This record gives sequence, structure tokens and C-alpha cells, in this order.
Amino acid sequence: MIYITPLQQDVLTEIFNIGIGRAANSLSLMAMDEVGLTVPSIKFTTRKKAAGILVTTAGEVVCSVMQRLEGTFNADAILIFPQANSLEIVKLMVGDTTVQDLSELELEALCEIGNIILNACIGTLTNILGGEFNISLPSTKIDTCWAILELERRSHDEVVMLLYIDFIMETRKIHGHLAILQDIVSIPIFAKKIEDYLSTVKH
Amino acid sequence: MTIPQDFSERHAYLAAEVLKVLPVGLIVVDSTEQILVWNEWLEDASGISQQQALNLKLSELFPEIKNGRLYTAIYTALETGYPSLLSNSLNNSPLPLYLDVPHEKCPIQQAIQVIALNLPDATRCAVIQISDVTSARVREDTIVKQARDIRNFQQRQNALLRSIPDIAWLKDTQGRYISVNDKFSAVYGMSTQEVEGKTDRDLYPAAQAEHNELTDRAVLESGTIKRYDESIAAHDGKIRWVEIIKAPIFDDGPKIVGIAGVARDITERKATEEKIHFLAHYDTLTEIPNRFMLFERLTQLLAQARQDNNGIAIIYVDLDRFKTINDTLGHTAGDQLLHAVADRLKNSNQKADIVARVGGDEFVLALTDVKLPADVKPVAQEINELICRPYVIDDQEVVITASLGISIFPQDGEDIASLVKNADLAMYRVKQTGRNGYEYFTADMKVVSLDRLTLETGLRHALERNELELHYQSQVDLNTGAIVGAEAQIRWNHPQLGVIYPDRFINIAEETGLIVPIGEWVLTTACRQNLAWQKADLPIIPIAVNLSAVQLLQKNFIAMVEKCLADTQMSAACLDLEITETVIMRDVNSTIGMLDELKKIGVKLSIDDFGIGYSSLSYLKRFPIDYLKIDRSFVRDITTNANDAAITGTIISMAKQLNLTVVAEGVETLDQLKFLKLHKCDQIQGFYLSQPMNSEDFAVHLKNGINGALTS
Repeated sequence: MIYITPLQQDVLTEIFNIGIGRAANSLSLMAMDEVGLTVPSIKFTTRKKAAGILVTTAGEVVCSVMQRLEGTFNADAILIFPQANSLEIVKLMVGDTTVQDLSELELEALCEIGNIILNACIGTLTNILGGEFNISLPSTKIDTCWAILELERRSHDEVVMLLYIDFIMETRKIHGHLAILQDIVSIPIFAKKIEDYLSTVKH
Repeated sequence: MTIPQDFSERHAYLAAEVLKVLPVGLIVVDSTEQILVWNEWLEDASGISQQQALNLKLSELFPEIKNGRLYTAIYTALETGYPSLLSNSLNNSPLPLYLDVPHEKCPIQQAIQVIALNLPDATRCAVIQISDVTSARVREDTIVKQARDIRNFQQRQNALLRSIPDIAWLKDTQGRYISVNDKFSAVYGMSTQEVEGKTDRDLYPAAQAEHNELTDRAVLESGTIKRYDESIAAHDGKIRWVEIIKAPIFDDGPKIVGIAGVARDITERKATEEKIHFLAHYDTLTEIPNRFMLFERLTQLLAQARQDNNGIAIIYVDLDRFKTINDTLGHTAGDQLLHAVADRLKNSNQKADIVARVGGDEFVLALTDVKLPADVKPVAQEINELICRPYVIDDQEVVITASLGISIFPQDGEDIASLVKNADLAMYRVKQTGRNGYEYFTADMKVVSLDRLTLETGLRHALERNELELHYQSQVDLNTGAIVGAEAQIRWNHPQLGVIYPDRFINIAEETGLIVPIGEWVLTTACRQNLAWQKADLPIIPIAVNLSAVQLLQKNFIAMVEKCLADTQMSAACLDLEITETVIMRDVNSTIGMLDELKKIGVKLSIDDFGIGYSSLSYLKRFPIDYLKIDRSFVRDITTNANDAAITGTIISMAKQLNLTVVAEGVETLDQLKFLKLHKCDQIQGFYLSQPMNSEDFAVHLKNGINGALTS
């Protein structure tokens, strides 16, 4: 079940490294904190298994910020924080708050943070690969990974590309995960785009 | 103005109208940042009219936004087409917009979205939508403040809970635990984290949970504090007694919002209470019920018996010669014996409804369902038999018997007091007729109603009212038949009860201290009487007077004897002081000193009731005594019991060796007399020759002698 070649996978990894690097830069500026990144990993799996992977890394219930790309290819870019960490992020940006749970306005703040990270990543990706896209406004959700990947209304067995990166804000011990899910229809186009980019790089 | 009919004109018209009423600010800028749309909401919030704003660059209108997030977001939209969202939390008021425009004191809290608008000519516009979140922010701040207040309250509450040294907890009105303190956790083994949000049903067995709910409900319904004691099982398995206080928690008004509970550990207090109850109802020495509990139980039993037309038997048990055991073996041994007797009574086959200790060596048993007096017989027999089995105390074998008196409800008394008194009277009859047995109460016993209180009260007045009298019993020389001595014996002529013998009141006199004046009176009276007989030319004989242990303990006892002799002018040689063997043996060394001093005065000394105590012969040799009186219990059986005969014979020969004059007491038959004569006993005293008599009769007796009773 190979949809993209190892070489294409390397390119993709590099592109995301650049994208998340930009995001990390903006985050570092906002949070005045070092942001560490892991090497992105790319998996082709079912939507159901993707949810399982996120549960093991982030927990059952998580806080998510999602933006949808529609255009040359379609993808969901999702930023995921463990629930406890979400509050930490808001505290980081806004200053201390005494409330135990995220309120509406704090969710909104989280939404903006997610927006910055996601825009940086998507921007890099689409800049490099080219193409026309409509990008939705970010939306936040606190829910199970199951619900965030929309398993209620989508086929569990649908094959998706799960690309994820862990980023760590050292002083606050905040772990976040960035996932980009592409539906199977988009993958060949996506692969073609990578191939196109690769040809330009070779020259 | 009319609404345009043409579709596109109509659409443009509506769009313009919508812009006017839109409750958000809307700015559209082109790729050069020039303002294309500026709606009415913005005119109101900025004080800048559409005319002023249009065709200006946004950064010209608001230079301060340059390099801010909004500015970045606008250019991101214009350059890349990506939308941005500006949270109010991160960007306080990006644009200088106010609720009160001319004063500019109330800035509008803004949340801004920037969306790219792709135009057909491949250029882009940025749509900036500004929402007023001021009220949401205020609400948020209020919520945060409330949350902070609640947290502070909870922290204070927890601090309060922690400071309580007793088990303490808080519950809401639904019975869910809110918080518990450390002591709660220690006792129940559950922390706040473990109990929070849980109810009693989640934590305890159903019965306990129901009980807790019931008391909680009582607090919630009444709005008042409830207190009660209960036992709880701590998680270490120990049962603890706690005093529980549950109080309603009110909000600022009359509404109850929860329950505060405190449980104070009163296990030790309960133990003390139980101990007090035990002390009040039980005899600490024998651990059987005491007089108080006996009367309590008898009250119930009598009520029941009346209802059922049933009989109840009261058995009064008094140990025979217990005082002797106490005197010779000491109180500790006496106590052990009482304990052993109580155990035997308690564990008898014929179970009594209650066995109680009502006095020093007195016990009372009650039997229910008594149809006939004969029903009690096997019980009484068993008790007699049980008690007289030998005991081993301090490695010594001890034998004791008991005298039992029986009274039966309803014929022998209608109330507890009279039933117990009558059983006591019946017991006394057994004592008088030789002990170790039982007797049913009969009406004739009532004549001598001798309860202790009556005696004690009467005895205090007996001296001043001249109710005491001395009787005299002669001591006869077995060889010559001559009267060679007399023993003074006290009698109490009670105005109501008639003659009372010393065995009924000397104990009381000793316990109350009345023995001291009474003893002095006896000594003086006896001396005076003897002198009177001497002056009447009757034979000169020593008069024997019994001394009590209490008298001997008096510091001025010797002086009292000397004073008495001086007062009466009687020769000291005519006074014979009798001290029992057991009293002498109690503290041999001090007694010897005292006997030596008495001897110096010149009085004669007798050792009384010899044989029942535990004399050591080596001591006997050191005592400066003249007479040795063999106890009547040996004399009684010398003709029937080989042991008693042997002992009596041995005592006599031993006394001879020590140059003591031997006197046998309680001689009642000719056979006894013959035995004693055969064994060379010196003197005898007893009913066979003469009974005790008053001074006038004794004067005649002394004058006449015994008239050959010895030889017949």
C-alpha cells in the first residue's frame, strides 16, 4: 500500500520541517519560549487507526484546532493538544488564569494560536507545491480523537495520509501534535505535486 | 424611497442596507490596503464617517496598527489568501474603537477575523470583520472572579476542615461528599479525591448508608443541628464510638446548600461510661452484680412474677467464719476466696436468675418459676455442697461452709426489702443452729428482726440507754469440780428486738468503732462485778473478758486497762484477758510486745478459740499466756469425729508441755466431759455444767458450786 515513494516522503518531511519551523518561530515570538520539534512522520492508514495513533500520543479527549484546505487537493490540517496542555498554552499566551476549564474566550485564543501554526505550515506547503486553495477559518473543538477525525460520519476504513509532528515548548512541558489528513482521492495529485517540486529541485 | 425592481440593483440596495444594520464592524481593503467598505457600526464605534474613511489606507487612518498582528493578518490574507483570526485574549483592542466615542473611556474589546476575498481580476481584497466581545469579556471576567472566589472559599473551607482535630466532612444537599479532612482520611482510609462527588451509598454498606441518609435528611428538613452517638468501623477494623454533629450549611440567605459533619472520637469516654455502669452495677471484686443491680433485677422479676402469678425464691448466702479466714490468711486471700465462691455460685448447675454479692461475705440468689418451696431445696443443697468443696488459695487448702436462708415470693414478703430481710433472718437461724445448711423463712423468725441498719443505729444508743448487760459463764476445774473462773459475755437487751447476742453486733461495733467505748464498759463492768462478788465473800476467781482486735490497735489500750484496774480497785490477778488465736497471729511481733506489757501489769492472759487458726508452736512458746481455750468446734465433735478427738488430745498435751492451763469451751454432754477428763484437760466451760447467767444468778451459782455434776 505505497502511495508515495520514499523519496517523495523525504521531500514531504522536509517541506513540513520548514513549515513547522516557521510556525515554531511565530510561536516562540509569542510565547517567548523555545519550541522544540520532532522529525515529522508520515503514515498511510485508515481513519480509524489514525484516531488510535492520536489517542496514544495525545490522550482520549483532546483540544483541537482545524483548518480545511480545498482546491488542487483536499486536506484537513489539525493541531492537537492534550486537554491539560491546552490551558497551559493559553496561560502561556494570555497570562495566568484561575479557571480549571477552558472558557469560550480562551478557546478563541487557542484558536488563534492554532491559526498561526497551521497558516505557517499550510503556507509553506502550498507555496512550495503550488496550486489553488481555499482555506477555512480555524475552528476549535474539545472532544475525543474519534470525534475530531469525524469518525461518526466518515468511513472508518477510508485510507488517509497522517502526517504528524510533535512540538514541545520546553519550560511549560507542552506537547502538541500537528496532523494533516488527506483523503485518498487527493493523494495521487499530492504525489504529482511533490514529483513536480522534486524535478525543480533536481535542476 | 422605493426599493429598486431590477434584480442586480435590488441586490446592491439590499447589500448596502444589510451593511448598515450589521451588528459587527466590517472593513474591506484592497490589495493596497485602501478602504473600500466602512460600515455604520464602525462609524459609531470610531467616530469616523464613511466619507472620511473611504479611499484612505487603513494604516493612514490608524498608524498605530502597523507591525501589529492585525496588520500581519491583513497582508497574509492579501498575499496568500489565508484567513486569520485575532483573539481578544491575545490582542486586546487592535483598533481604537470605543463604546463612548467622544469620551474614549470605554474601549471596545474586539475579536477580529480577516478573510481574503479573491476577485475575478486575480486581485484580492481583505475582509476585516470586527466583533464586539466587551460584554462577553465582562461575563468572562465575572466568571473568572467567581471561580476565584469559589476557589478562595474552598481553600478557606479546606483550611478550616484541616484545622478540626476530629473527623470532619462537607456534603452537598444531594448527599455527595465535597471535602473531607485528614482525620477522616486516617480513620476511614479514604481521601478527599476518593470520596469527592460520591455518596454514602458508594462508600458504605447499605445499612450504614441508609442510616447516614436518614440523619442527613433530618438535618436538611429541619434546618437544625443534629447530634447522636454511634459506633463506626474504622478501616483498621477497630470499632470506635463517635459523637456525631451534623449542621446545615446555609447560603447568604435561608437556603440550605449542604451539610457539615463532625465526628468526635469518644471511644474512651464510652469505655469510661461503661466502666462507670459496671462499677455501679457490679461488684468489682467478684465481677458479679452488686446490691444495686440485684434490686434492679428483682424489681423486674417481681413485676413479671406478679403478672404471671409466679413464685420467686430469694436465697441469702452467708459464708461461715469468713472473718477467721480473712484474719488469718489476710485480705488478699479472703478476696480470692470470695471470688472463687462467686464463680461457683455463678456456674452452679441449677441456674439462678441472678447471683449478686450484697456484702462482705454475703451473696443473694434469685430463682424464678418457683411453684413450691420444695423446688428450692435442690438448689440450696447444691450451693451448700458447692461452697464446702476445698479451695486452694496461695497454695493452702481452705475449707469454708455457708449458711443459707430462703424466702419465697409472695408468701414470705411482697416487696424486695422484706423478702431479702426474711431470707437473711432464715440464714441467721442456720448460723444459730450450727451453720452449714439452709433454712426456709418462717413467721416466728420475724420476731428477731435484725437488719444491720437497725442494729447500727440502736447500738449507738445502747450504752447510754443501759441496754448492754454482762452475763457470766463459769469455768470449772475438772479435777476438783470447783468454779475456778468466769467468762463475761455481753448481751444487748434491745427494746424492740429482745436479747441480741454478740455474734450479731460485735462486727458492727468493730466496723463503726463503737467497740472502743463498749469494750471499756465491758472491762469496767466485769471488774466492778468481780470486786462486788469478792466483797460479798464469794470465792475469789479471775473474771475473763474478751478483747477485740480493734481494741488492741488502740494506742492507749494498756493505759485504759491500767486505769480501769485503778478505778475499780480490783486486783490485776483477778482479770483474765482473752484474745483469739487469729488476732494474735495477725501480727505476732507487736502482739507479743503488748502481751508482755499486760503481763507486767499482772493480769492473766488467755488465748481464745484455739485450734481453728494457724498458730505456730514456736510462737506459742513465746507468748506470756496462762490459759489456752480449745475452740468449741473441736469439742463439739470429739466423741464422734476421730480427727477432732485426736486434735483436741494433742492440743491438751502440748499445752501441758508449755505449762499452760487448758480450758475446753462448749462442753454440752457428759461424754465430752469424760473425754476431756480422760485427756487431762484442766478446766471446762459449757452448757453441760452451767449456761451464762446474769450477775445475781451467777452470785448464787458461785456460792453453791456445781454440786457434783462432775461425778454423776
